[in-house]
Amino acid sequence: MNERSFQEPTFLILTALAAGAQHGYGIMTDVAQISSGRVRLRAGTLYAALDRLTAEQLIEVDHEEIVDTRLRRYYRLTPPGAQRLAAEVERLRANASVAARRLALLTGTA
Amino acid sequence: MSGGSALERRYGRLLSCYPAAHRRQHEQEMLGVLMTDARPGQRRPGLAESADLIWGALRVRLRPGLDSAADPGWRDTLAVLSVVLPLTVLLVYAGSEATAFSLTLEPDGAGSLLLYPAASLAVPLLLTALVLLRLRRTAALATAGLMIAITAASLIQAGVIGLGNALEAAAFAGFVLVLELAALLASPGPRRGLQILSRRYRMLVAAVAAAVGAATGLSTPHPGWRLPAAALVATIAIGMAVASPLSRRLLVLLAIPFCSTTLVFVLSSQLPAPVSGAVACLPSVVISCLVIVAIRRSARTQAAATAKDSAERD
Repeated sequence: MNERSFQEPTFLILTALAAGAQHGYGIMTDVAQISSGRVRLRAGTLYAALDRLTAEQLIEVDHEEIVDTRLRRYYRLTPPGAQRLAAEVERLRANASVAARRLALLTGTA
Repeated sequence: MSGGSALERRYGRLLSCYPAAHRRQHEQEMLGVLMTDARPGQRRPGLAESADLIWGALRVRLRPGLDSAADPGWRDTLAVLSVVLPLTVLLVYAGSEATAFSLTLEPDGAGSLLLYPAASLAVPLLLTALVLLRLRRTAALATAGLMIAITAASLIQAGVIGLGNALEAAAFAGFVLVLELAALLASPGPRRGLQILSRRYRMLVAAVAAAVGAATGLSTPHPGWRLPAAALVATIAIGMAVASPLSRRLLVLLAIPFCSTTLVFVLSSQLPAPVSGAVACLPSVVISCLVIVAIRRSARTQAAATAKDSAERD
C-alpha cells in the first residue's frame, strides 16, 4: 500500500460528495461549511482537483442540468473513491486517538 | 447586465489559458461557478481568483506529461527537487561569487556561470525563499513569470550579441526554471520535499552545494583547481548514485541544467558560439526526454498495479 494521504482540499471535496452528488458551486459552499469557513476553494483549484479525481476514478459525472442557461454538472463518489475516503478516515482516526491518549497522559502526569 | 457580461467576458479570457480539451469539457461549467460566486456588481475577476485560475491552467496543462498518477518515487523526488534546485543554484552562484571576490577578481572571472551578474543571485534567492516558506503556488507563478522575462531578455540579447551567444547564456537559467516549474507542478510540492529532507540532509545539501560553488569559483581563474573541482563533483555524483533511489533520481534531474552549463564552459573556447551553445544543450534535452519517458512508464506501471489491485478487491 503506497497510497499517499489526501491533501485537505481533496479530503473535503470527497467528504462533500459522500453526502450525494453535487455540482461545482455546491461542492464549494459545502466544503466551506464542513471546514467552518476555514477552507474556501476557488474555481481554479476546485476544477484542477475534480479533473484529477476523475482521472484517478475516485469520482465520476452523475448527471447534468441547465439552470438559468448555465450548465451544472453533478459529480458523485465512485466505489473506489468511497474506499479511499474510508481508508483515510481510518488513518486520521487512528492518529488522532494516539495523540489524544498521549495528551491525556501528559496532562495526567503534569 | 452589462457589468455581468463584462465580468463573464473577462473570466472567459482567463479560461482561455486552459487547454482546448479542458475548455470543451469544463468552460461553461466553470463560468457558471465563477458567475454564481461573483459579488453583486462585480466587474473584474479578483487578483487571487485570477492567480488561482492561471495556476489551475498550469497544473492541467502539465498533467498529461508528468501525470499525478506517477509512482510515489518520482513524485517525492520532484518534491525534493523543488527545494534543492533553487537552493543549489543559489549556493553555487554565491560560492563562486564569494571565491571570485576573495581573490579580488574582475566579476567577469566567475562570469561564465552568471547570466546577468546582479539578477543571478536575486532570482535563485527569491525562489529559495518562496520554497522554504512552502509557498508552492507563489513559487510556481514566480517561476513562470521569470521564464517569460528571461525569454524576452534573451530575444533582445540575441539581436545584440547573436543567437548562439544568447543561447549559451540563457540555457542554464532556462533549464533551471523549466525544471523548477515542472517540479512544483507535478509533485506534492516543497512542503513534502522539506519533510523528506530531514534537518541533517538539509545541512548536507547546503554544504555540498557551497563546496561545489567554491570549487567552480576557484577553478575558473586557476586551471590548476579544475581537476580537484571535477574530482569533488564526481565524488558527490557517485555518492548520490549509490545512496538511495531518490538521490539517484535527483542526480539525474540535477544533471539537466548543470551538464549544459559545464559543457558551455568547456566547449566555448573550442567551438564557435552557435555550435557550442547548441551542442551544450543537447545532453540536457536528451536526459529530459529520458526522464519524461521514465516517469510516464512508471505512471503506466502504477496505473496497471492499481487496476489489478482494485480488480482483486472487487
